[in-house]
Amino acid sequence: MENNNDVISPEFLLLIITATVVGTIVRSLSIKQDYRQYPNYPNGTLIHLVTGAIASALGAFIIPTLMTKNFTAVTFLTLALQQFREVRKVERESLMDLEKNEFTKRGNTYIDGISKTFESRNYISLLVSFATALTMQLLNVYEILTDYTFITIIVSAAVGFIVYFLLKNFTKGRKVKDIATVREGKIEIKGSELHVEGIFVTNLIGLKIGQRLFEEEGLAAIIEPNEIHYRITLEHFGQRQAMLFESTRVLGLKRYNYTFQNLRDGRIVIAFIPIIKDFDLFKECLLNAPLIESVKKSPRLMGGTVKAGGQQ
Amino acid sequence: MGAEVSILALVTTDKSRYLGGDPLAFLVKDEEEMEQLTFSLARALMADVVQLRTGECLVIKR
Repeated sequence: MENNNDVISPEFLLLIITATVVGTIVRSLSIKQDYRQYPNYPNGTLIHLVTGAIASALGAFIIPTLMTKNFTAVTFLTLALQQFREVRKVERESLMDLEKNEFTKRGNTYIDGISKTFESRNYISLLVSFATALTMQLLNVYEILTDYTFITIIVSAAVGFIVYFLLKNFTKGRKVKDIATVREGKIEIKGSELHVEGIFVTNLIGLKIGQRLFEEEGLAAIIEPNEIHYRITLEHFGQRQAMLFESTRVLGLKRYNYTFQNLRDGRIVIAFIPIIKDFDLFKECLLNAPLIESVKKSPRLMGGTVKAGGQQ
Repeated sequence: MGAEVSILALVTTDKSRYLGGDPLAFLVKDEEEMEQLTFSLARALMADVVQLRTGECLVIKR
């Protein structure tokens, strides 16, 4: 480690700062502020910005450490990996802790999806800042634009953003509206049973007062998959739970929440008694609910054509 | 689905159904009293009520 006592050279300093800043900007771009309002604002967002900044700093340090022949320092990348896995673990743990106090549960599948996304966003930051630093270094080595520091920064930042958009496209999640349609379901109460459009949902509303409440204030939606193979995704309990969760997060929940699938034709019912009764908002929530990665199945990769059970 | 269900109480008007056992069992006079009792129980235990087709009510928690 002969270089340990040297002062870092201005080129490397510039390189590290540029790459870190670009990586941090990318992380802040990838924190989406939409109706899900997750991560929470302001503290949750700040936490993720800072971990993103650290991730991009790690990405930025790779080039200078290699250039100064500090090969042993590359082992800190394993540390980085550890840190990102920690991000996922912490995210999962905190969501698990919240499970008992939310209106409805997120469900383990959804939590897994969320925490994986947070981990991968950190990798994106790291890769972007690495790409930025690499571009800057290459421009320096091949003596292109060496006299124009400002332009060098712009060019390498541009490369960083291109990498970001490529990765963003690659990791892009789909939404329920890509595979299904949603319409309002008619609530019918037959004795202590709740039916929506003739689909049995539950018989747990034995109380007269509950039945009245459901008739007056209940909301029910019918979700129909566009293609037969999307049933596998939509009928997954975790996916249904995620849709229910996002709806109750926005509309609130007074009492009773049910999801049920009609096994014959693949219609899915989501019914509950919201605090704010607004079907349009409910529909919007359902359509924009994310498709969970671990539930998603690609029919192309399964091979052959997919038919409904019983049909040959 | 993995939802754990437990039966907390049985409410019935039919004495022949009142056999004892693990869940608490109530014998009531009529539908009116059944409605009142199940309502109070459901409130207190934060549970749901299911009326079986045979007329009995179960207080269920999941």
